[in-house]
Amino acid sequence: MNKISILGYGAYIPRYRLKIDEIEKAWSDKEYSTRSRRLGVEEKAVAGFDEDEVTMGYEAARNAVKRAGINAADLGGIITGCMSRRFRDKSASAMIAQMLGTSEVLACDCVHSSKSGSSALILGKSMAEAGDRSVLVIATDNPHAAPCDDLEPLSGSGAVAFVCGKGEGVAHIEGSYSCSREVYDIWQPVEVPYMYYDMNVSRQQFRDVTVQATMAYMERHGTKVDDYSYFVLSQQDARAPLGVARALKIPKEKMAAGFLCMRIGDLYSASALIGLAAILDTAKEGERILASSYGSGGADIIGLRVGKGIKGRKDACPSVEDYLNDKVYIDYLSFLRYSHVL
Amino acid sequence: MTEEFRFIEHCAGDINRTIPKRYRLQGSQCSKCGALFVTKRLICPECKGTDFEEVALTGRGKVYTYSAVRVPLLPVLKKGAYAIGVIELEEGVKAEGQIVDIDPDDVKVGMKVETTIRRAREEYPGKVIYMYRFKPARQ
Amino acid sequence: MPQASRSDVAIIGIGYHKFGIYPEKSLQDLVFGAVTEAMESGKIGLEEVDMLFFADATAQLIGRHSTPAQFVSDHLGLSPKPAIRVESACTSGSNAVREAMANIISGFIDVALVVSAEKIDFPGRENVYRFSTAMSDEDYGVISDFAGPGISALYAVRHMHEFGTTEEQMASVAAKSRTYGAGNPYARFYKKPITLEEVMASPYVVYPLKLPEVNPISDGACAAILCRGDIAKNFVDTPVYVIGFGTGTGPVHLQDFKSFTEIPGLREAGQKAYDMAGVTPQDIEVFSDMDAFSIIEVLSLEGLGFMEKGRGQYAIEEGFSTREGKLPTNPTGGNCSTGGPAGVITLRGINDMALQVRGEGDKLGEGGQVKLSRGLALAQGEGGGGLTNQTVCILSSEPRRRNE
Repeated sequence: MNKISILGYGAYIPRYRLKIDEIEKAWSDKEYSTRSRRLGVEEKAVAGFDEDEVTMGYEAARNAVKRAGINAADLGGIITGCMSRRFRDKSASAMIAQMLGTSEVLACDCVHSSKSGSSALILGKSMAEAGDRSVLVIATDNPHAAPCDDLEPLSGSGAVAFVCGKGEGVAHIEGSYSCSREVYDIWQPVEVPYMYYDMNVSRQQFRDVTVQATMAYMERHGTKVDDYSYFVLSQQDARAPLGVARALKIPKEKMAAGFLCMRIGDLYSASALIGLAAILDTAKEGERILASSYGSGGADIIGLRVGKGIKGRKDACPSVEDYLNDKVYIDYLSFLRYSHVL
Repeated sequence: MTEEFRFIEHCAGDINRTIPKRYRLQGSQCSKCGALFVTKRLICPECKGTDFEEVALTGRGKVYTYSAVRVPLLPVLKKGAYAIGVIELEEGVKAEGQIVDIDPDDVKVGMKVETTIRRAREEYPGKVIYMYRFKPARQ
Repeated sequence: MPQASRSDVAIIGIGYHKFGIYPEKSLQDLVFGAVTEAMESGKIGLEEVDMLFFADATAQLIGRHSTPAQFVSDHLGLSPKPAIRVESACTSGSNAVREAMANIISGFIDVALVVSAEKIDFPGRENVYRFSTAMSDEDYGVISDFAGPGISALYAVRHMHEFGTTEEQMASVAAKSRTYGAGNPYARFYKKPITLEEVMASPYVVYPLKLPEVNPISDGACAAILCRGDIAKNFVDTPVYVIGFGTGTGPVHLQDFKSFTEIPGLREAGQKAYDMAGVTPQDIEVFSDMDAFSIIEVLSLEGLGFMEKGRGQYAIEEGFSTREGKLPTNPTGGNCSTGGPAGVITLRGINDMALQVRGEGDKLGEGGQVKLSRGLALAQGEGGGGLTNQTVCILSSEPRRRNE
């Protein structure tokens, strides 16, 4: 049987939270605060002084491996999806492999897009299908927006990881659909410290591509909105996903379980996938989930059906909700310090 | 810009040689007398045996003693107060390390902890040195 | 009084350079100050010195002198006489005395000049960081950004946990040190006494140790002239005999410590010194411990058998370790008051005790001299990342008695 499932999953959210009020206080710019208010994000997760995309990815990976009930040495591949990695040469996956204590493994990074995480998951699924060992997929991001930039209240930090393998697991991966379009919405050449972006282009493209890709997926798999108990989307802010939901006539309650950006911000490559992990924390056997992830003008759609294995796996490591609740509020100055801006 | 420490070469050990032990607690056990050490040993201080086996340690344990460092060694440490501790591991040996993810004032003797990995320092731009740390155990 | 023999060792000269921050002075300037004083006090000239023992912990890493003993020897005009460097962190100074003793006892030399100096306040504090963390070996241990204060705090918290020691009890060590040291013209905190209330109101450096309980980084130097016991009276009327010396070591990394309420190796070092001197802890009349951190005084009083284990914290409130007490401890101020030029502080402890035995304690402040009947003093030192080097030096106004 070549059925590929998620055998285990794990999340990690750093414990520090910055309230958007704190950013507003720091800049006392009315127009700025109205703009960020409208986007519906109330607070964002901030990586600690000694954390980065690698340490967060490691934490999530350790949780996922633990929940899958396997040894790190059983893994055939480690693929890390990360948009904010500022290295041209230094594999995050290889570092995480070493941290997990395994070496006979294909370790490679999937970068340069906020859908790197979902693309890594689709690649990981295919790799597990073709081989005989499980594949660990990690989506992790520690983005830094320029101070007082429109993206500053939105960019959050965190990670999520999945173990893909054969057999009955937490959720069976029913299928995937990807599309790519070139558009200049968000881009960052290596020589500049912060992203360039055009939010209007980005929102429109996100909406158009996500709607189109979701419809294409459902058409190919012969499903409709009613067949899914949960939908989870990339969450660049708390408004954009609702536009997609309206267009696709997805009821709000089907979006709720994976809708986290109000509490942690946009996790870029981990944004939709951490929502997926939160859904798996509460989902029951037989329920279906449709996850979509947007980045660089394109989208990845992944359909899942919750399996028998969900029972008994939930308590193996902390849930997303556990991480959401374990929080410490920091002020803007601490945020700048933790982000190594100061 | 982003370095915890600016270009401070450090200590005797070569960075590449010591990577595995910075990530994971690895014990070495004397084959002759069974004494267990967190530090790698070539000669057993107990029985002078020279044969050791590597033993994986769980990294779980209890705080044996601790302190909150209020004045970091270097102003460029910038991270503010942090907790350090000696942990009595489940295997009965002790290990030293920073305790993270907790207000340093809240650490108590006997508190349960487990390991994680964090950035420790940056030696050259991008040459980030990671170290195992202890954090409060969740379960 | 027994006659001093060829195998006795005496301290005849004692010199200090005030501890403090001296951006305008070089290592050699500090050495010069201390050596000049020691020569005057020993009524001896540099031409009579057979060998230089230079002790430091930081010259190489912080001061960028890779062969400091040769620098010092050349500056003092001692060439072509032998000069070696002794290094064992804060016990560099006291271990240099031990090495000088060994050379004298063996008949290799007659007169030794022991000098310890540190120039720590080098521009750029990362040198201090580099020095502190380099006391760990990353190949065999771990680097946890622990340093002296942090490690002492680990002892303190465990002592509080096991024996109910309070922060006030530890703070009173610093208050005592600063009060007695306020009259000591060689101390960094000369004329700067502090009360227990002020210590308690000070910010933590490392919980539970507050700023005054941690010795401040300082520059400074000390010198001592040692010679054969049987020729000592050719120079001075009141030689001070080194009748016992014990050295101990412990594990370098904290994870190998069996206990955090005992300084590893101190008990053994103490026993060795008592046996050599033929005395017991009860015979000692004045004591200098290396209170680089307040908790160390508690642990030293226990480890050397002056107080029962778990009771060292009561030494001050019971009046045991005050100037008037049974065992005056650091009667002219300890490190919390004099400041802490790493390797120098253990030689300072021996010098302080030698002055007490000579009856010249008032040189370190009015009322500094304590009453002695037998003239027996003990200077303790410890050093290294986890307090892993221990030295115990017993001084006497009389040469060692031998059971023959």
